[in-house]
Amino acid sequence: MRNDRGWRFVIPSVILLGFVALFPFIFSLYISFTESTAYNIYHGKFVGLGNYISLFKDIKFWDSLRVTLLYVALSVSIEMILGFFLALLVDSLDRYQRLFMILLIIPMMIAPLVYGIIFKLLYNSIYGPIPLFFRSAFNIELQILNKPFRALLAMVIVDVFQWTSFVFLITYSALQALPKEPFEAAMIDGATYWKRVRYVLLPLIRPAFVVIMIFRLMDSFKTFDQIFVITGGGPGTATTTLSLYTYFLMFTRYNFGKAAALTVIILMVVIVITNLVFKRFFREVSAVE
Amino acid sequence: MNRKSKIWLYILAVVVVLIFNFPLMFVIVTSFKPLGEIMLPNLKFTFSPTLENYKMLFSETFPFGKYILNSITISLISTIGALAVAVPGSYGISRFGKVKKNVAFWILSIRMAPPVVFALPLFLILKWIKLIDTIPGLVMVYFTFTVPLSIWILNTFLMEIPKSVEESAMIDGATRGQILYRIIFPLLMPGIVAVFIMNFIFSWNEFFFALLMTMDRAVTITVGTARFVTGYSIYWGAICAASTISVIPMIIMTFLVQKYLVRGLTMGAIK
Repeated sequence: MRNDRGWRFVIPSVILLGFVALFPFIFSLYISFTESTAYNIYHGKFVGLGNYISLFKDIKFWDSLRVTLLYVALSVSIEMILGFFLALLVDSLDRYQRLFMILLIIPMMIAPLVYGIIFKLLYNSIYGPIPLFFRSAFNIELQILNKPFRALLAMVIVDVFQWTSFVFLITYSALQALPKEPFEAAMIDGATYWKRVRYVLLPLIRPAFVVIMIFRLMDSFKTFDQIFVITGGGPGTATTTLSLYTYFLMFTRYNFGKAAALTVIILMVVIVITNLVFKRFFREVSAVE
Repeated sequence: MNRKSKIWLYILAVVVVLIFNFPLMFVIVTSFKPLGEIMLPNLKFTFSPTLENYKMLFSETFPFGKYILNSITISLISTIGALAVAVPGSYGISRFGKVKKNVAFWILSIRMAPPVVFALPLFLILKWIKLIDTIPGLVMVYFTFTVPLSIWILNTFLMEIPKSVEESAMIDGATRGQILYRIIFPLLMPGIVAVFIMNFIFSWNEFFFALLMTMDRAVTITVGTARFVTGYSIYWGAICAASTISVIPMIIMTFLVQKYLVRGLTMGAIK
């Protein structure tokens, strides 16, 4: 078909996205080179790379980066493993597969903020059911949210509870779409169930698994709502992820210049990763289906 | 596999479902507990159900009804507005090679970026054009995620519509615009419904932007729920009732879109 003036249809979207996404980014880029605070947003002194340098010298920045990486690595790896086995489990049931699937994807439809608040109640050291359970069953006084590492683990558990369902759903759908012949052939050759999973199923769903992992990595990297409402980044800075740190820079310390510098860095990293993803996997998977 | 191990598989599946849905079930049950019994420091499984928490939500102290109405309005407008630009937009992208690569990459980048990246400039822009704490202001901010999501998902639906349909219409002398609205639009309807519901869910569940951009007039259901956590006390009864109210419509919508959920969540990378 002729490539005639097709771009006309794209204009409204491009204008709208230009206004709500591209223009804000350019604005951020400008602010990141100035000494802007809440009191002089538009007339901040030009400081060149000053904000970037002060960011790299800020121990709190490195701290939040470490917290974020730990949080993302722990949550995503647990979710990938659990989600995969859940998908295998539901896939091996003879009946009611659809019912189990629907029940298992409910958690991810709940607003992350609401999920966070529920866990804030579950974790409460006086009347939260989890500490109550430990008190009555093992006679242990469990303090969850005021020990640094334990608080971070508690945040990982919230993420796992909510987003394992994502890994499960996508893996399960990928399993459903696999051809049956390789499995039948392996069965005739006498391969056990786990052998078939390892040597037939895993290689076949690898491309889908990579896509799932990328989405989980990106989305858990974004996490804000639950952590904000449960710990507010504490105790100390134990659960202050990059998103929370940026938020504090902006709206409690009003250091707009430095906050903008940080968002520029984050966006650059995201664009580089998206570029890799786009080239390597999106095409590959889209081509396979 | 023999019968006995089959039964164990079902038992395991039921246990897993119960564990993963425990937080939700707990909050729904707690929403019917008398206020005095929620914060008792012992495990107690029996109570006489009450609606007092729900009554409290809609009393004069908390304008929760207004928050619900705000959320419905904002989610609807950001969803419909996004579709209005995304239907022609995705059509343009899917049918015209030159535009496709760059715009597609750009849109995916926006989807991947953390919202915090857009927070500061959007906040300042809204202040500037005096749209802070208004419904149009928040809708505009929500376009940062509803528009890319819509374009991308619609694109995957459009790729399934054969080009021969358009070609024959073109031979009959139809213009591009006519083809889009007379031929593509009806064929795209399932995709539009799926995108509508996905956008609605994402807008309804959004918290971060709503927290920054609203104070009073345009407060949404998520920010309203978080407001029950105050510096002095936490209104657990109200929180559980509010959470139950906000979660139920989302679960119903999930059932409606489950067929297209995978496509929506992975931006069409997996179907």
